[in-house]
Amino acid sequence: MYIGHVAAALAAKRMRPSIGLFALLVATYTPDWVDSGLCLARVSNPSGMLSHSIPAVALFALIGFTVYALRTRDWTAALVVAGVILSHMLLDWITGDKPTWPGGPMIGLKLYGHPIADFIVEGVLIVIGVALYRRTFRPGRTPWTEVSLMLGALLALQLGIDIAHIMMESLPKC
Amino acid sequence: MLTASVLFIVILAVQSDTGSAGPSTSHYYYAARLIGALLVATFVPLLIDRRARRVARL
Repeated sequence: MYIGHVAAALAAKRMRPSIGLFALLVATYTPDWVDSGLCLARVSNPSGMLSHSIPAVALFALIGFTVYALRTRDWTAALVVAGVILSHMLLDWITGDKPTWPGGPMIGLKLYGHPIADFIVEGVLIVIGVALYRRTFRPGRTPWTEVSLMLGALLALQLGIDIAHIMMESLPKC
Repeated sequence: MLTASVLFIVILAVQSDTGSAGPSTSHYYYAARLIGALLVATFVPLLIDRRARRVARL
């Protein structure tokens, strides 16, 4: 999943508006940031075991919870941050094919091989996320242009990725 | 305009030819592509949100 993860961050912003969107966006992409770091460091990460498996994401969520709680003393918000990190794994199971645990099965619907279905699924998530995001503004003060821009930009990014997948069926991996 | 620019960068990043890249450079290519996509996915909604908060305060 690509832009669908942003929807989780936007929904979390609705749940706990005091959390900065930057923190939520970092949280929602934590496994992918770890993946890119491991790739740069040339650490073997077969099938994303060190970045996307259940134990790995649970560890990231625990770290995220601890760091956010220690910085803000807002335990509920820290739980929300941890939940956003966990959501990455759950959402990847919808579109990807991800490891569970060492020696365990791979889970996922593999929608990356079906870009149109992937766009529909991620598009629905984006629409829901932006609808929840809109409600973070006070009634009567919704900046409709910017909310529409958010929806359009996220859908356009997702469309770009899915078109790229259609044009290049096998993208190289680390 | 911003969206179009970002979309262009993303497509370019994903489409760049790696046929001549050896095993040593493929790691960096993949990492650069992933980091680029993550930066776009992080900063596009963040910048729009900043603008939205500013407008909502006016």
